[in-house]
Parts: sequence; structure tokens; C-alpha cells
Amino acid sequence: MNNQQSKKYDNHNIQGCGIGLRLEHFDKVEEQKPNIPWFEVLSDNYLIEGTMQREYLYKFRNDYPVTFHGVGLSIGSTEPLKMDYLKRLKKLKNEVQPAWISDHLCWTSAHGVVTHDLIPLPYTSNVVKHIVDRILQVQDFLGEQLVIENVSSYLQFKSTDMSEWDFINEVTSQSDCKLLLDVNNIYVSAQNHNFDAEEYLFAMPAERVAEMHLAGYEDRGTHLLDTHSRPVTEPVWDLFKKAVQHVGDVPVLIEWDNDIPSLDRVIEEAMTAKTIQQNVLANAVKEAG
Amino acid sequence: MDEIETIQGDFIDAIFGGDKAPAASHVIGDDKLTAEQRFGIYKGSVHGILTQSLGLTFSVCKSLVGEDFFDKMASLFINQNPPITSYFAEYGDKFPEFISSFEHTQSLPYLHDLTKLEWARQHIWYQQDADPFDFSTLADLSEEQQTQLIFELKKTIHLIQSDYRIDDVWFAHQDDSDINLEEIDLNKAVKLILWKTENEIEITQMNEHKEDSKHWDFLHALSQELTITEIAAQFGDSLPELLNKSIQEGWVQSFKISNNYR
Repeated sequence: MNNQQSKKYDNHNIQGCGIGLRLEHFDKVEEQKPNIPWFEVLSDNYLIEGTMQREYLYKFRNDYPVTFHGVGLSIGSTEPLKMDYLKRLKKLKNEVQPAWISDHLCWTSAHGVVTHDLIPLPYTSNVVKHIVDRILQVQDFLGEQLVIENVSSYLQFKSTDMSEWDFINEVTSQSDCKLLLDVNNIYVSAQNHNFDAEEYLFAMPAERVAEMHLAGYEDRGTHLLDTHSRPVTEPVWDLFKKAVQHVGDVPVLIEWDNDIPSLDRVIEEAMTAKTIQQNVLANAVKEAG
Repeated sequence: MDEIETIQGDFIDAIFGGDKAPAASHVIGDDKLTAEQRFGIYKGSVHGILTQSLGLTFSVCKSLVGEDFFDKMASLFINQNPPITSYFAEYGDKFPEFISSFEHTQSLPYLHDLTKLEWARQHIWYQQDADPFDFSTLADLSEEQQTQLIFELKKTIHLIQSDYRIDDVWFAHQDDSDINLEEIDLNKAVKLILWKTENEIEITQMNEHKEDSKHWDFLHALSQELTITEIAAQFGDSLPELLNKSIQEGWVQSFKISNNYR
């Protein structure tokens, strides 16, 4: 059963602050139908047909607009694009009609092995070309613009010869893809590699930002680890305010993937993001007036 | 792309148990963390993600051996069996085989069969049955074709035989169970059928009664893709009743004609 004929929502009406749909909250969401403007679905978890999760998603889609967010694309890999994965993704996309599909600017698999982790790339013009070619192939196959997310990183490569923000600008402009700006990831990487988070942020192509992510990290002493297991921290909220100034009114999402709290607590975090976003936007209007 | 291909190859090797030095040689170290330590964050993360996935699939095994032991065992398994699938649901099929030869779990001889049961639950949960089959088409077959019939079990059922009471061990670890692990007579052989219903996996023992045991043997013969002629030689007059019962229970998906038929 799919709901291609019974959708109530305009696919592209994604606004405000959403949250990630997590298995732990399925029952609560179904029972309470919370007032959340949209949900992000971890598409990789729904790519096997005939599962209860997939049936849930078909039903869920009648109540909320959704976006897809994946890990399995491995856009930075040197192995061929995984056509089985892409075919499954496209089929699910056609059935559920997400507003957009996002994945990460990194690699997760190579040489036939899948790490399921987000491993960064060396930032060079050759790698830009490689990624752009692959994004163009994916966009061509899916028939829509891809939304690509900046990742947190804990290492830098010796061969890197450009800044991460220049790399992102080159990739997004040459492939004409959209950007999922993860504010927490900018902060985590800036702390880990000792660069200026604001310089990175304000170098981002605001007109390409389709969505922003917020999440919590853990401080491991020698580095910050992007665990999505904590509330958003104060420095990230501060950077988020500047991000709203820079990119304007774009949809925002709270990610919480480990040590997942109650649905109410995640919603509370989204409400905080919404308040901050609205205040910044209102001040911007006042200043402009 | 030679350089990035080399980096990715070196990373994959080192994440799954190989030498870390080639991977670290691509990375900048500093006064906070050496290149090897920075690479090690990713190795730890990959193993953490996969260990968590295995722990969910083999949750009873994890509970029996303890979290620390399980995590160390999982890490060895991960090094020997890097994932080649993008889907967590498909990772772990070789874990029971690994357990059977893992020297440190030999004191728990039932663990191998228990992990087979846990994997079977996971596997059939993600299987999808084909559309209902029209068994009335049997009447259209010639007599010769009928001798070469093979009845196929549904993908959403699985048969397990064990020398140990693994079903009770599994049930004892479920939240709503009234089975006490210490009271289980472990050394009791079982024949089990697992099948997927609308929203759960049923596990039923089929050797309490002689009839059930025979039915399990019949289903097992079907799972070996034997022709109906071969099965008749084994089950004789009981065949029609066993076949009808299996179809009525919804465990038989369809039939086909053996490839040996000309």
C-alpha cells in the first residue's frame, strides 16, 4: 500500500522548525499527532520493501510533510555510485514524495566496504571535480536537486589545499545543488581544527541553503564529537543566530540520534530554535525598517 | 583520483584491523592529537556504529555474555567481516558462524544456535511475501508435471533445529516473559518454526507432539526443494494431510516444476 493518491500536503511546503522521526517516538507521534511543521526521515532505514517501518512511513506521510536524509550515498567515494541504493531511494521518493533528499559531503563506503560513518575528504580541486561529476549523476538519476550537508570532522588531510568553505562553494555552484547547513558541524569542526566558525559560516552560499541542522555534541577533552546525543549548546545557539542572519528564513531541524529523550523534550528543543529564529528575523525586519 | 582512492583504501584497511600507519600518513597531526589518534576517532566510531547494530540484532547473546565481552567479540567479528551492504538489517548474517568457532564462547555451546535464531528473526522481519498464489492451477498440470512439483515455503518463515532449548532462552530475555533462565532444561532438543505475522515474529516449538514433529520434518523437506515424488517417498500416506495443513497455515508460498523436468 502506498499513499500516492492520498497525500494531504504540498510536498514543498516545508517551513519552520522540524524534528527527526525516530523509531522510539513512532507510537507517541501516531497517538498525539504533535504540532510539528515537518519531519526529517532517515531514508536509509526505509529502503527495504515490505517492512512495518515502511508501512508506518506511508501512513505517517498523510499527517506530516517530510524530507529525506541519508548516509548511504557516499558521494565522495571513488567506487562507482551504488545503483541498487539509488534505485531503492528513487522508488521510495516516488511513493512518499519528500520535499527534498539530503546526504553528506563525505564518503561512507569504498573498495566494496561500507563503514556507515561520515568520513571527510581532502579538499582539493581534483576532489571538487570528482564530487561534482557524481552529484550531477545523482541529480540526473533522481530528477531533482540534491541537498548536500557539511560534516563534522576530526582530522584534516595533508593533501588539502583549499578551505572547507571554498570547497563547499565550489561543489555547490559547479553541481548546482542545494546546501544543508549544519551549524553544529561548523562549530565542532572549527573547535577541532582551530579555525573561525564565523568565517566559515559567512562564506556559505546563503541562496543555496535549503535547510539548517542543529544538534548536540560531546566534549571528549581533546576534541568535540558530533554525537547527536545532547541538547544544543550555547555556543551553537549563538552561531545559529548568526546563521539565521546570514541565510534568512529557512527550515531548521533538531537532530537527536543517541540517548534519545522523550518526544516532548525534542519538541521543546525545536521550539527553542523556532523562538530564536523568529526573534532574529523580527530584529532584521526592524533594522531594515 | 589516484590519491583519494589510496586514502580510502588505506582507511578501509586500517578501520578493519589492518596497519594504521598508511592511513595515518595522510593525516595532519598536532599537539592535541597525533595523526594516528585522529584517524583512530573514525576507527572507533565505525566499530561503535557496527557494534551497536550487532547488539540490537543479537540482544539476547549480548545479555548472556555481558556488554563488555560482547563489544570485544563484535569488534573481532567486524574486523573479519566488514559490511558490504548499505543496510544495517542485512549485516550480521555471518555472526552465528563466527560464534561457533570463537574459542571464548565454547563454554556456552547453545550460543551458536541462539544467534542463528536471533539472525533468523532479523532476516525474516525484513522479508516480503509474494502475492497470494492460486493453488487451483495445480489441476492444470499434467500427471508427469505433477511428479516434478516443488512446493516453496514463504520467505517469511524459517526452520531451526537445535540440541538446546534456545527458544526458552530467547523468551526468558523478553520483557514480558515469565520464564526463568535458571529453570530452563537447556539440554532438550527442539525443532522450531519462526514466521512473520503482521507486526511480530512468532516462534513455535514443533516437537512436543509426534504429529507436530512430523509436520516440521515435512516443512524442512520442502525447504530443501525436494520434488513431491521425493517427499512422498519419505512421508507416504501422510503427504496430502501435511501439505494441506501447511498451505492452510499459510507457510507454503507457491509451487514450481523442477528444473530437471523436460
